Amino acid sequence: MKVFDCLNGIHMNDKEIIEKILAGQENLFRHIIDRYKDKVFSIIFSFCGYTSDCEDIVQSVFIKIFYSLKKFKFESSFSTWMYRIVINESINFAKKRNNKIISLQEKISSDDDQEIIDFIKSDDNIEKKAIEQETQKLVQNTLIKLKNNYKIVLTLRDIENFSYEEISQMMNVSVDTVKIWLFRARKKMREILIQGDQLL
Amino acid sequence: MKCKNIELMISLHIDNKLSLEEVTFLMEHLNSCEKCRQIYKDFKDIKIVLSDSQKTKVTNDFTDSTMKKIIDLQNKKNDNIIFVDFVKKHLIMVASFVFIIIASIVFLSKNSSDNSALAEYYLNYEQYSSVEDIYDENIISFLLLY
Repeated sequence: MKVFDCLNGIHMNDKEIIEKILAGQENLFRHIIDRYKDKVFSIIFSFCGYTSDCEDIVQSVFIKIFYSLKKFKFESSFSTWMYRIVINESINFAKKRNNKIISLQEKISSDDDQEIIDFIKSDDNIEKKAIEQETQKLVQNTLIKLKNNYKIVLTLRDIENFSYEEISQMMNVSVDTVKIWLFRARKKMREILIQGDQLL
Repeated sequence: MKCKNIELMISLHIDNKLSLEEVTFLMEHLNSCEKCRQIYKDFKDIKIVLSDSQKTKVTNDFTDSTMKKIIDLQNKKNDNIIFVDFVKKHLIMVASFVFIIIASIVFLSKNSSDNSALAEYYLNYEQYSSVEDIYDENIISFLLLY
């Protein structure tokens, strides 16, 4: 019966799944994890940078979401409510681990050998790919340096492609505030890249 | 309009949040202002790079391992709940049981202390009686001498 319910969950929307989980079918939570794991990982990655236990942090966030489900009142969409938890947890983790952040730069340099092998194997222009990856590293490292609010809006808008309205609901601020924060975030990011003479 | 206000418009434009009139106005300004044109290019590049990045994904067994942790935590929680419920439902029985155990311990400890006192008495009594016997024997032997 449980396996059957699990398969059924694929076709359910978030609300239906949450209702069933609260009714006791806790196994259905796996569909929530499957739907959102990469996005949640992406947000936490933006905050914490690459850390060896980044996935453990994502896991603990999902466990927190599971145990908070009873508090979900179905007033907003589940994803909005969930991303609020993710954002709050990300800020907390970033604060706690502020001194322990290992930059993406370090992580990638440690994997240099594998990258070189990948480049050689690929048919595309090696130089072009190298420049693209270097640019991404720079932007990622700059993103980590931004203030939390700016980091959140840039991640949600430019990486996860959420609308201004969705971001305003997640962050509990007005759409105008989101517009201003996004503008300031881009401006600040540009300033940091120019200061480091690293603009694209 | 000052370039400062144009910068905000650029940010909105790359998210397609400007009206047609505003876009026309912005393009006219960009055609005549090199500084703002550079900002427009930079903002756009940052957005493109960010949207292309972050394709890092969790491992394949992430869902299974997370669900396993949740189920383990649930089981532990359920065990605790079962114990607490049992205690709540059988409160009188549990209280009586605890009382009986405490009373038994007190009784047994008291009893064992009484026994030890008695044992001590008997031991002493035997000692005293043997001393008395020796004392009596000495008196008899003394009388026999005279």
